[in-house]
Parts: sequence; C-alpha cells; structure tokens
Amino acid sequence: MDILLLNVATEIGGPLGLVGSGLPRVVNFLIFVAALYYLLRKPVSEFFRQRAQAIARELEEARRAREAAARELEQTRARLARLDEEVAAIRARAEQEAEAEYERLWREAQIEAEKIRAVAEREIEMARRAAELELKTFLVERAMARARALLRQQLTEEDHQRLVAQFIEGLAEVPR
Amino acid sequence: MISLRIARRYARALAEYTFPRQEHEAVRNELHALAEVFREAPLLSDVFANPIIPRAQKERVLQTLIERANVGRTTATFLHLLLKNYRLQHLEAIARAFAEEVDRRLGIINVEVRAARPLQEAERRDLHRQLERLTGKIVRVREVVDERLLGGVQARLDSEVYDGSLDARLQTLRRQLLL
Repeated sequence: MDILLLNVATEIGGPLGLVGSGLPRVVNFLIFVAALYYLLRKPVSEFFRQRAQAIARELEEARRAREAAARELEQTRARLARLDEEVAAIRARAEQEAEAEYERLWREAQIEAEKIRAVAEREIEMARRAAELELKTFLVERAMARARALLRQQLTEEDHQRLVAQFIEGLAEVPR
Repeated sequence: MISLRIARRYARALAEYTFPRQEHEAVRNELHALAEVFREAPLLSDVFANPIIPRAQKERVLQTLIERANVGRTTATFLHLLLKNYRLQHLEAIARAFAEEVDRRLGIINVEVRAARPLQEAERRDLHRQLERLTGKIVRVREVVDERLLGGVQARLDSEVYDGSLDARLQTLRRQLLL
C-alpha cells in the first residue's frame, strides 16, 4: 500500500508538485481508489468475516475448554476432598475382610485340629483295646493251658463218673 | 465224586425194592462188605471208572467179586445195574446212603458218643435210654474214646451236638473271660 501511494504521489508530482499538477491527476487517483475499492471490497470483507468467525469459534472452543477444565478441576478437587474418606472406607473394608478371613481360617483350623484330635484319640483307643485284648488273650490262654494241665493231672475216676452223670441228667432235661 | 443226591436216589430205589421183600438188612450188610473191599482196594474203583476198559472186562471183574463175596441175587442185580449206569465206582457212597435210608425207614438214629474214657455199663445204658427218649427213635450208639477230651461226654446226632465235656465248659469259660 505504501509503494502504491508512493507511486501515486510520484505520478501527481509529489508533495512539491501537487499544487502545480492539476485536477486530472487527482481524478485519476480517485478512480484508481474507487476501482481498487470495488475489486477488493468483497474478498477483503469475506476474509475478515471468516476471520472473525474463526476467531469467534476459537474463542467459543477456548471458553468451552476452559469450562471443561474448570469442571474437571472441580471434580478433581471434590475427589481429592473425598479421597481421605475413600481411603478410610477401603481400609475399613480391608480390615473387615481380613478379620472375617482370619475368623474363617481360625474356625477351619479349629475344625481340622478337632478332626485330627478325634482320629488320634480313636487310633489310641483302638491300639489300647488291641493291646488289652492281646494281653487278655495271652493271660486267658495261659490260664486255660494251666487249667487243662491241672485237670488232666488231677481228674479222678469219680470226677469222670460225675461228669457223665451230669451229662445224662442234662439230657433228661432237654425237651423232646 | 458222586453227588449225595444221586447216591440217595439209588439208595431210595433199592430200599423201595428190598423192604417189601425183607431183604434190606442182608443187602445193607452185603453192600457194606463190598464197600469195604472198594475202600481197601482203590484200584477197583479206578477200573470201573476207566472208560477205556471194555464193558465185558468190567463185567468179568464184577462177576468175580460177586462170586467171592457170595452176595445175594438182589445185591448182584443192583451191582450190575450200577455198572451199566457207570456208577459202580461210587459204591461206597451209595452203600452209605442205603444204610442211612434203611435206618431212616426203621426209625433208627445213629449217635456218635465221644468220651474221655470208656463208659461204664450203667452209664452206657442210662445214656442210651435218655437218647432214645430225646429222639423218639431207636438209637444206635457208636462209642468213641477220645483221649484229647479232658472229661465228660459229647453226643452227635446228625447235625446236633450235645456237649457235656469238660473241654466245652473250659471253652465257655474262655469265651466269658475274653468278653
């Protein structure tokens, strides 16, 4: 634009020659300006309109982004404010669960221990009975062997007769 | 080994034949004697059981046996029937079954009496009387002295056992002590 004005100024004879160049140069200049205005009015206007719209859109987007950021910030602040509560709640829940788990494991361990104790007691009892029976059998067999030996040694003819008589009497009592 | 059922079937058939003719005692004794021969000479059973030996040859062996044992006609015919039916090798079992059948029909029961020492005559008589009263049958006692017994008497009637031995008392005592 500065170059164009310089050319125009030169064309009309510069500041010193203006007074003396005459009216045609001025008219020429005005026509030139008018043509320039006519040719550039629409594109420049459109350019500025679009530019204005773009700026407005960008401003709108910036506003929205700012609002979103503000909301996000607000939410974050709120979350941060609740964080302690959440941490406390999580901790309480974890403690409760740990307590419940501990109780469950303790109960299971007690039940298992009870089973083991019962099995051990049964086995001990069985072993005790087996040993008792073994000992008893041994003693009874010894006693029987001793009794047989004594009887064989000491049984008299009278004893034999008495045994036979008892048997016959016993038969007499058996119903037909 | 012949089944008891088959032996009893022959025994019943023979009893059916011999009882009306009053030959049962004689046939029983003859079969018993021949069964003894079979027991003492197991080869005889083998000969009669052997399917390779011809029937005629077995007939000759049987005829020789019959003549030497001098058995009656009924017994001889029965033996020939057994040979024909391939049962002669089981004569011992059949003779035993016949003896039991005869006893059953005569109302006789066999009782085995085991004692630690021989019974005295009075004891034997009393025992016999009590056994007959108990069974309601004629009792045939087979007395066995069993030295393993400490004392007392055991009487076995078919499947029943009356145990009056000292050993049984000791066993009862043993069971009680072990309870």
